[in-house]
Amino acid sequence: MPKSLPLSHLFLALALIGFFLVPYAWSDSRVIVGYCVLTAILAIMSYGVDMITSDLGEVSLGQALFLAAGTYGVGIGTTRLGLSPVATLALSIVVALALGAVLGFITLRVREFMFSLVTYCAAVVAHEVAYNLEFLGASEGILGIPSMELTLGPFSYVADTNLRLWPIVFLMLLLVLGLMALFRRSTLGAEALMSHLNPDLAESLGVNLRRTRLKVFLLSAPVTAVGGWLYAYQRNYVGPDVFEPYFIMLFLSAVILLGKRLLLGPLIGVALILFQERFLSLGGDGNKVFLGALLVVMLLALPRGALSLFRK
Amino acid sequence: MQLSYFLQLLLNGTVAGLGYALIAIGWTILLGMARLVNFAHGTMYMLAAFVTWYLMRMQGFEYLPAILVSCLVLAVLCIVMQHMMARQIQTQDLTSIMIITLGISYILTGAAGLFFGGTPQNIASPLRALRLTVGDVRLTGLDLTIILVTLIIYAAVWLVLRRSRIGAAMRALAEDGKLAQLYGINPALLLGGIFAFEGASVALAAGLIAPRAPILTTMGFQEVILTFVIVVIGGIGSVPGALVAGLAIGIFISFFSALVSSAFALSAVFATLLVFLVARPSGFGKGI
Amino acid sequence: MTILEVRDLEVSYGALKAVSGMTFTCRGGEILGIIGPNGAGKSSTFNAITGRVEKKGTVTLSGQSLDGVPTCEMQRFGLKRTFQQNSFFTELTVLRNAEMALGRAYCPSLPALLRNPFSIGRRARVRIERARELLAEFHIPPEYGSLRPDEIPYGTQRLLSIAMSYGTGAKVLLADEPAAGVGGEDMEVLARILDKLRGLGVAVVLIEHHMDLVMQVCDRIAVIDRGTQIAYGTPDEIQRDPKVRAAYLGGEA
Repeated sequence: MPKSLPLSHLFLALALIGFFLVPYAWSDSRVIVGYCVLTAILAIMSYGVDMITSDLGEVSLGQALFLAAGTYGVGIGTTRLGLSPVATLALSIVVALALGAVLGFITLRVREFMFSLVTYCAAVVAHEVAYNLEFLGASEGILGIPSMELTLGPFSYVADTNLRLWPIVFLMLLLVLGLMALFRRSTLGAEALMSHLNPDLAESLGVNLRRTRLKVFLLSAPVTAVGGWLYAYQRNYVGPDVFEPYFIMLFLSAVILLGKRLLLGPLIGVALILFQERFLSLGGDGNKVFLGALLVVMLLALPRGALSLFRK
Repeated sequence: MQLSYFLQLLLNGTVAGLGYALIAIGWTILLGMARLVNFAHGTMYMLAAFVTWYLMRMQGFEYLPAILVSCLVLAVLCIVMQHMMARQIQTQDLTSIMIITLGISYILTGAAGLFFGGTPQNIASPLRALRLTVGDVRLTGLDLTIILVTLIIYAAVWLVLRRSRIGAAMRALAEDGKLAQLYGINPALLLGGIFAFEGASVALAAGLIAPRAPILTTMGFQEVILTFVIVVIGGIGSVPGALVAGLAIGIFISFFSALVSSAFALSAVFATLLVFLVARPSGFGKGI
Repeated sequence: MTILEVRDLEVSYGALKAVSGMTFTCRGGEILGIIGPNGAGKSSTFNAITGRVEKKGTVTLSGQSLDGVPTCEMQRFGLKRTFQQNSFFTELTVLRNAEMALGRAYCPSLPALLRNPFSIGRRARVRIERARELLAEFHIPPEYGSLRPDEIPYGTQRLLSIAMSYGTGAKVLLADEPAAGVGGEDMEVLARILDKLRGLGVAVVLIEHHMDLVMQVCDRIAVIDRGTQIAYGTPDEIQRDPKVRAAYLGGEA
């Protein structure tokens, strides 16, 4: 493995640098800049799903809860509590971890499919709560979220356009990618993989299946929440639309599109799906059919991802 | 609280609860016998409701024939789904099956939006016009139909499972796919039957229950949750358990909506489920 | 001194009593064979010892009771097992499988990596080195390292499954039919490995059908038929036991 690292590292570095430069190269095109920013934000969210699905091998349908923790953390934090971006980030992460802990402990002893069902129901119920609770803005949501303003002493940086938000978004993307890489090389990543591929063998090798699931679930919470945090500042709006099935469909499709456990897999997946949605749109309902069909076709025909066509 | 009000709430809850139980029966069988989770269940309910509405409104069908055609359409749809996922079903790849049915659910949502549009519609069931009064309590012909049909279907399913060769084969299927062949019944046909039953039963449920409120192509999620809660509390694979659980949940929602809040009724149900999962993960009925 | 003691072991699945009355002892540096017709309850015995199924009776390891110990903790007591089928991670390479078998000792925790991400390279090198040694210890040719388990010869797969369970060491190794489907030369290698494990002081409990191997390597044998233990003794005693001949050896090749 050490011998082949340099080549894949080089590719990785070039791809990321290239991605970083695209909005600046096409800075006049709001469409392209917006596309890049949204791709990165949604990709960050999908990495939470990635570690649960590609590594742990389970399906968590409750990531919307963590997404919501991120967005509503900003919504409540800025409009009601006047918090700084760093503080809203902390708030978002804490709320996400709390939700994850509650769900995680409740589902600690249940089987895989029960875990998926409970997380699914949690998301639908959370939708109902967010839709009806005045405190969270009810169906209207929370409007007028200020743009992200970072201050250090006398200096302040206001990210009031997509282009100005881009460096922050990209930085968070790099951090998430770094976390994923470290996760996969850590004990937790190995144990997640072992529980996925052969639970009996994993157990006899000392892996505590339930605790591993809980830990990975808890790790995924802040990752998706960070995406939500950025999303709120990018849209200047927070609402119950984050609970719509679109997001989980996007995340799952992006994660399986290229193949499992590929570092840039979800990022490229999100980029491709978003590309279709923005530039080759079939209309709202048509896009739903397309995205659903993409997910189904991938799983039926190419369960190992598109790249399996190029492997043996 | 006045007695008549109490009884009315009780009756409404009973009707609603039996309705939920009818929605859940197909899913109970699928999960209990074939150990499969179908995330498209709620969307199928929505689709069946719209097919019924469309046939009645746009094609001039009568109420009952519309429901029957809708049952047929959904049964066929489910069998198609079964064949699509044949490989995953055989290898018991539940993770893929869950995601595939989730994807199918999304396709159906989009397709329904394309064909039926985004505006709320109403199914005009003639049974609603029939008003009955028992003492101070009021119910419609539709309510009565829901009660009767649910009880009949449950009784029929219960009898088939307990008394017939098909039932024995299905229970064997739950244990081990190959054992089912001992009863001389092709396991593939049996599985097809289970899937078709899920489609037909959810369509029947939609035909009877959807007329009670406006229908939207974005609906179906509540039905999934209610179904899931019923199945878990009633005990996975337990038919009588599902009936009792449905009833209990219907009555709970009826009283909760009237006395506390209707917007958060589902949340309350879900909270109950969570408590239940912590206390007694295997449900009350005899699961498999 | 490692001693695995099993007394009056009983395993029931509902009304069916899969195992009853199993009693045996295996010390470090000994190989105990468990033989019996198919379905007699041999794998259930292993499942009971490792806590995967409910049991009655006692299981102690060097005097310490293993009751209530969760299955995933068994390896901490040095109790390891192989599986009859599917005893590796088929999607990973043979080398990666061996790396997984090394467990926590060679794998950094996430917090440790967050503190020092640049140690990844060094840690990986150390782990890969140790994994290669593990494969070599179990006579798995190094060129198989980059292949997947289903791409290597069947006999070598069985060796891999033992290597996987042995990992960084074992006090007790429960081997579930390691010689199934193995012949000729591979059987020789297997016998040598079992011998080596014995030499290392491991208490080996071996479920097997291959009588030649059993008679060759085992110090003692327990015979189980239809869930009950019908004999327990040295290979000679077992071969002469009329009950055993009637139930098993008589009609078997």
